[in-house]
Amino acid sequence: MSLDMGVWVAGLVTLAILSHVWKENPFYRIAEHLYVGISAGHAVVMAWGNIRDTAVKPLTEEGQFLWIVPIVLGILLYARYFKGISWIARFPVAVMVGIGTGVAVSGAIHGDFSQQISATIKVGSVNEILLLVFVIASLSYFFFSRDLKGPLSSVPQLGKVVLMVAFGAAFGTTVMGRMALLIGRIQFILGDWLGVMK
Amino acid sequence: MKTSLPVAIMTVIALLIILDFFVVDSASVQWIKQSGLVLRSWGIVISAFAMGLGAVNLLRRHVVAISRRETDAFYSILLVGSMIVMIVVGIASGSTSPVYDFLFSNILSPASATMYASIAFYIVTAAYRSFSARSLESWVLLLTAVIVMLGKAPIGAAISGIFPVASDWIESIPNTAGMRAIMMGAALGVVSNAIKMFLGLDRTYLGLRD
Repeated sequence: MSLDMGVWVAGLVTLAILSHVWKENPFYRIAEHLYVGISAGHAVVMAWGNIRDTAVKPLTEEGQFLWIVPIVLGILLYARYFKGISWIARFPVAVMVGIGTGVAVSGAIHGDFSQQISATIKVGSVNEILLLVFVIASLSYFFFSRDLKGPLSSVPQLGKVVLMVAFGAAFGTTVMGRMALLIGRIQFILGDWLGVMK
Repeated sequence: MKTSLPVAIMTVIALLIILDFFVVDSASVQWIKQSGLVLRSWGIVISAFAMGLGAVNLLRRHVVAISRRETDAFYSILLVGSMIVMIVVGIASGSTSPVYDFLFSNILSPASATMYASIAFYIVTAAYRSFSARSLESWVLLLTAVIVMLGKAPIGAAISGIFPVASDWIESIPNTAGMRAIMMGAALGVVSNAIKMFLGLDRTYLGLRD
């Protein structure tokens, strides 16, 4: 059995969270609230690190005065707490949404659309031909504007089956990923903490 | 001014970043490249301030619960206390200090891993309750999930060598095809939603309902 206080704390937190599988109880709630508090605190510390390294240091140490703009915009976000001037917070939100939209649209057009098409139409092997057929079939299932009739109606049907295979694979992968984490936690409890397993 | 100016700012910034991505790097469009770079780094700073906004909201909610002495106030005290300790230690001594490292390694990290691990139980029980193999599609989904799970576990390979091979094939061909189609559909959705925002038809991000 470990004599390390950190291992004991980690072991107790692990057991407290796993106890929720049985039913909600005070030990779980203590661990849950500690987890949320420490996560939020960690996020704030990381955010402060970003502000300090990206904006404050270049502004104060190198005289890059343009960094005043995002700092002021960031502070303006807190205007939402003051009635009467809460609308000012819309400006930094608009800047953030603009940046996010620009990045998302560029990524969507380039990475999620054109690159996916160019990767799909490169056919050489049987598997690549199957991949092309499956992608077209799946896309045809999303095509709601016009009903496909006659022999073509089997294409969206094939697409539906392909999508079910994809969902099944995603489900299987997710379950196995979570199982791997669970095995890791059980190994920690029985091995690192209690020392009953090597 | 209170509504149309933020929409205009959002549109100009988004278009600049899109242009920055697609224009060829040359001296005549250097200002677009430079603006895109500056705006993206501004985004990091403003998002960091927004993170603080989330923390303030969380604090407000729990401080109110403590001051009203609600039944669960004890848990709120734990949350607020742990959050303040983490922030004070992290900002005063840095994220490499022993206290910060203790809280991170022995509470945050194991709690996070256990939270994700415990989801395994809920996924499986939810699947048991909701999956009913009544149609071809649901049979396909169930069978695929079972093959992939057996393919990834040592027991699958012990039963038959087919499971790892079939699992790999499913993941690399039909799974890739399905996910690729979903990705393309989502990309079109992103673009169409962006156009709605540029035209001022979607202003929900400003807290406005149209």
